[in-house]
Amino acid sequence: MTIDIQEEGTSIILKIAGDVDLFSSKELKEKLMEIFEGAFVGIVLDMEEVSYLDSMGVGCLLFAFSESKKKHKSIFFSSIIGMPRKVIQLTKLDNYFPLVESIDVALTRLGKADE
Amino acid sequence: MFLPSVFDIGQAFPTFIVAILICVYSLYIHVNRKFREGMRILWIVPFFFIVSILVGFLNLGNAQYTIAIIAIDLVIAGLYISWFIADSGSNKAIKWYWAYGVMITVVQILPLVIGIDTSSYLRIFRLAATLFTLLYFGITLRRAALRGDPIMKLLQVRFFVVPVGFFLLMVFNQRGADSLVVLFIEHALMLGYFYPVFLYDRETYKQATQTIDVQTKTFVRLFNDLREISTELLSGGTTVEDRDKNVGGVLERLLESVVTAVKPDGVAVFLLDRFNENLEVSNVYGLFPPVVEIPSNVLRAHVGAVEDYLKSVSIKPGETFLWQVFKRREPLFRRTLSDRDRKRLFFDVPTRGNIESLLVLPLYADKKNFGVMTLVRNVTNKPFDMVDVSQSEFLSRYVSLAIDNRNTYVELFEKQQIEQEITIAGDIQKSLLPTPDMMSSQMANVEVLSVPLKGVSGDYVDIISLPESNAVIAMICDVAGKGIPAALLMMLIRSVLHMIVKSQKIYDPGRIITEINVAISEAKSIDRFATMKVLYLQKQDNNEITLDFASAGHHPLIAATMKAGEKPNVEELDTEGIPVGIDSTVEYTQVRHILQGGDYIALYTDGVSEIRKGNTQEEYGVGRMSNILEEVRAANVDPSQAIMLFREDMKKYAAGSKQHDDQTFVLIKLKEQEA
Repeated sequence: MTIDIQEEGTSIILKIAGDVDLFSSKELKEKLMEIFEGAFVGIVLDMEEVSYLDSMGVGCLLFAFSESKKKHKSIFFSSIIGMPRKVIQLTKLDNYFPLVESIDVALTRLGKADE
Repeated sequence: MFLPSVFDIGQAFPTFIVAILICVYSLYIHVNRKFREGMRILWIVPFFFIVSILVGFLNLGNAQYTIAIIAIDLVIAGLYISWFIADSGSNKAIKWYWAYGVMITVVQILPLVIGIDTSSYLRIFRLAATLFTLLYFGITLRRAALRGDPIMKLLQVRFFVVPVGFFLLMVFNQRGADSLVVLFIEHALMLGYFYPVFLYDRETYKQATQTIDVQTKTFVRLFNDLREISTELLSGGTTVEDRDKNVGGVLERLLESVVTAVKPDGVAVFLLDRFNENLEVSNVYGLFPPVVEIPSNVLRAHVGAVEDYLKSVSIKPGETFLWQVFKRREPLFRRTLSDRDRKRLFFDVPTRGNIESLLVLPLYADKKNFGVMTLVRNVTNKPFDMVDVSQSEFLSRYVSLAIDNRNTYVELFEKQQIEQEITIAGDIQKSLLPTPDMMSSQMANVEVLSVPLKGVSGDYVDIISLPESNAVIAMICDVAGKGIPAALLMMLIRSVLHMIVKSQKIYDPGRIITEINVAISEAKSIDRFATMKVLYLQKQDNNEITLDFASAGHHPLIAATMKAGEKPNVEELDTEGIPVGIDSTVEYTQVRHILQGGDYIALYTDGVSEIRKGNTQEEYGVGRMSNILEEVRAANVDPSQAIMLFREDMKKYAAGSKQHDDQTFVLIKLKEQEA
């Protein structure tokens, strides 16, 4: 798993690629904790390049979502496709998670939230 | 003014050329300090004899001179023979001495046999010159040996004697002296050259034998030390506390060994503290290098106070040169410390001036740095030499490895213990699985396939029979994550389920999941969650069987139904609901389906649907399970046989590929209407 970080004003975009599983989810969680401590208001997890997502990976997304609520930050998961999408549908979390089609949509929504 | 006449020296000309060559060569060796290579000069010596023979032939005559020659040659021969006896090692150079000894004697006797004529003053002169040469070198070398650095002195002597001898040779020729004078100056020259060479060899040989002796003794002592260290290590128990106690004992032994072997004036062992990551003093002996500042009030107090203070010293990461040695794993060695070194390395305390020689060694093994050891000698002692350094290094390396092995041993033991505990936990878990009699109720037979990945499973199946209601509750649950944490959450879910069903008599699957969700959402951190399906099967008065189920993000169940006279129908049944443990406010709802006796229901966790085909990425999926289910429903196979079909199919599909998740498969066959 690799995480590519981009800053966009008060928002931060994490482009995640590869497998988010038992082994890599710890790293992602640590990265997220670091970001939640920071000053960013909006967070986008871009998952277009994620090829595999297991239950620990789902746990990681759950953590991100609940922490963002606690810390009063906005979070979006963008471009979840393929196998990860299936996992999220299977666990019926597709309506629970703030999923969007693309980073642009996420940024637009974050922009609106700012106003 | 010498130069033109140099070529007039006639018979001595070959000697002259050889002597020049020797001078140049000696100078080369001296400047480049290539003493070993310098021994090649021995090959020059036979040339002298050839020259001597030539000169001897040219001086045929006076028979009276023979007596003096006998005397001198006997002295020379005796000298050589005594060297050989003293030096009877199997050294190549020594064999050459034997050869030279024989040759020199022959050469000296040859003119005697033939007869040489010369005047008496020359005879006395030759005798005197030879004796002088012997005496001179004897005294010079004796003094050099007393100064403790004979080899250098010997080479200096050689360097000095050869040109002087050559100069004398030339002077005598200038004055038209008898060529016999040339002959014995030549002898003196040869001796002057030869004797130091010999002594150099002997000295080297002596040092070598001494070193071997010292090394043998050191080896024996080191061996004993290592044996004791090993015994010390093996004597302890298997807990971390035992290990720490052991390591303390081993370090004490290291200190003792170093003190005996190297005889420093002070040794200190610093170890990395496991908790605060500082280097802390572990063992101290003698003089302590002032690598930390000792407050003046402590210094003024009694000696014990300083020692107590040192024992509590803690060096933070990056502070002092000890950290450099620790991190880089490279020893620091200062044979003699300069004032600049002292200022740079030590704190300004009075003891700083006393430290003359410093050696700091890292203590480390493959993956881990343990600490450092410092050794010091004070100004009154001699500085550490390379033997001291290599012995200390050897001991410290061995002890580091020993400590590392000890750590690995304890870790392995602990791991083994944890594995044992996991096995026990797995056994407990297995005992909680529904027993066969629980699984076959009035209305259904249940078969379960369960293959945990790591001893304990995050998957969970439960069947609760409710005979008074003509019903059965079935649950399948998959806790995210693996191993012990997953198993603990599983136990919690099981407790809640049994409490709700047995004490509170709540049978609605929706309510059951809602209650479980509330219970575990409060009890656990957010990234742990579980998916589950809870089924409530009840026989109705009209012989239909109702299936009510609720889902928390779990895989759909597969139902194989068949109406009389029709083909079986296999379908996946599901309902909404996110996994439990995420949002405590969620209300889970249930759906109802109508089934008949003889119908099958299959439940599974993702460990089953994600079984990999061979070592490919292809997954088992739902299709194959549905197909088998259709067949068994059509043929009305007994569930205990049907489960075997599933087991075989999964095994065949996986074809030995590595299991990567807990696998659980549940097959429920509804009992057919009793006739």
